[in-house]
Amino acid sequence: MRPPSRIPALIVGFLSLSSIAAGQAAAHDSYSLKVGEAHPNFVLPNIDDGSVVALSQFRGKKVLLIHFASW
Amino acid sequence: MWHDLTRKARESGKLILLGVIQEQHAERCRLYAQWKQYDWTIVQDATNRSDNFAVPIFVALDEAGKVVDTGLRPNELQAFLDRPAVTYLANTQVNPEQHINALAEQTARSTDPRAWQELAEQRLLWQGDSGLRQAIADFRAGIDVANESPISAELHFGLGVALRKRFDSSLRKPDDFQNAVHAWDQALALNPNHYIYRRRIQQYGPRLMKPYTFYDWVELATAEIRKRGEEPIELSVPPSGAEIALPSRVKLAGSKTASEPDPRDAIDRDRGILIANHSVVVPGKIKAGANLRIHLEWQPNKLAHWNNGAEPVAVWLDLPVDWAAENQLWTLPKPNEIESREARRLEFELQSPKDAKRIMLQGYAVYCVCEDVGGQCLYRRQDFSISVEVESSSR
Repeated sequence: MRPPSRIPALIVGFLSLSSIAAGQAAAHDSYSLKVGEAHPNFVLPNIDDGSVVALSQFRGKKVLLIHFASW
Repeated sequence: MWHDLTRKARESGKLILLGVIQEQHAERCRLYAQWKQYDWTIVQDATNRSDNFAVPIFVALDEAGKVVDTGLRPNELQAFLDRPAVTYLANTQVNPEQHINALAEQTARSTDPRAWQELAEQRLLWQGDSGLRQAIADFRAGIDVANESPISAELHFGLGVALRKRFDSSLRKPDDFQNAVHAWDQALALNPNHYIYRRRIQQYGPRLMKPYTFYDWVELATAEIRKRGEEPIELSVPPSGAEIALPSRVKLAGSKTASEPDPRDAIDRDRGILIANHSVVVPGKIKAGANLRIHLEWQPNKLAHWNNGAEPVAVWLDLPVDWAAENQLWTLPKPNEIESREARRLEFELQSPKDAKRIMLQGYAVYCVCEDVGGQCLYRRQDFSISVEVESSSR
């Protein structure tokens, strides 16, 4: 994940201080998430209707994030 | 697999399955999801904000959004689900448009390439086609201030995504696709190990470069969805040419013997008045000896249409000495209607010689086109000239 400077201020608002600190520690040159660290929030469009989907909206549930491609 | 494995947990509300794709065209993944009957949320990350270097990746998060596993395996799912729940922060609403306006104000005179990248990507994500012109300008502003720093590759990649997106929209400019290829080339040159960058060029590039067929599943998916009695999601940009071509490890043997359609150079020219012609070379620059793929398109202008009662469009390529191609002459398919005004496309591959240098590839198309006003139909020839850039040898 990109460092927190890439995370919009409004969106950073979703994250706890510990999660921001964790984001700062993330290396930029790979998808180098570390177990125990907060996953940086993202806000991306739903492919069905373009609606706003924030990772943070799923807080309170276990999430399985699948990065994939149809090709 | 994960769709079936997680069904029970999803239905009972114990688990959220969330897909993230880096593909250029979200609707293709929509069709794929319809085919596979995925009923979970999938989001598009076209500019790779996630900084992914590969797919697939399976990341498990707990209730607080903390990473529990970065490569969850099917046999670990139950243990993940059985983990005790943790406390979490409440959610807040996001308004992307307000956020973009605030970002634009902050970034106006910024010398921070990341600020420009963020602004450009937010426009690309949320402003639709109307935000493309400004998103492209913002990516370019970021590239200007990035000064070849590591972020340059990301900015070039994002610029390519935005340009190709505009090419696929009603706002397209003739050079958008070629400029997208140049931008992706630049991203890959700056970060040659990047899987996502390389795949984007391979998607449109020569078969020799391709690791697999990218979108060959579309035809099967569409047929199977129809068989189920559903209407498949319509693709505004159906995959074609390189995107469905099989990879090939065989070098081009050379051209077949063909007769030129206008050997005496006697057919009157259309200089783009009736039919507009555009070309794209992928990759934008090749190494001597490498293959490349040419994308050509002919589109009737506003006051013209194809005459489908006449011969099909014929395309001739003047093959340079020592260069190889599968063909020199092609005829393009035409619809059944008497007249039409669709874009007609051709893709073909070339193999350059080991001592190749920059060349201007020459050829032409001959076609029958009619003027809307007056209805006069004309047989015309339109020449094309395509610059093929070859990397200069360092030795």
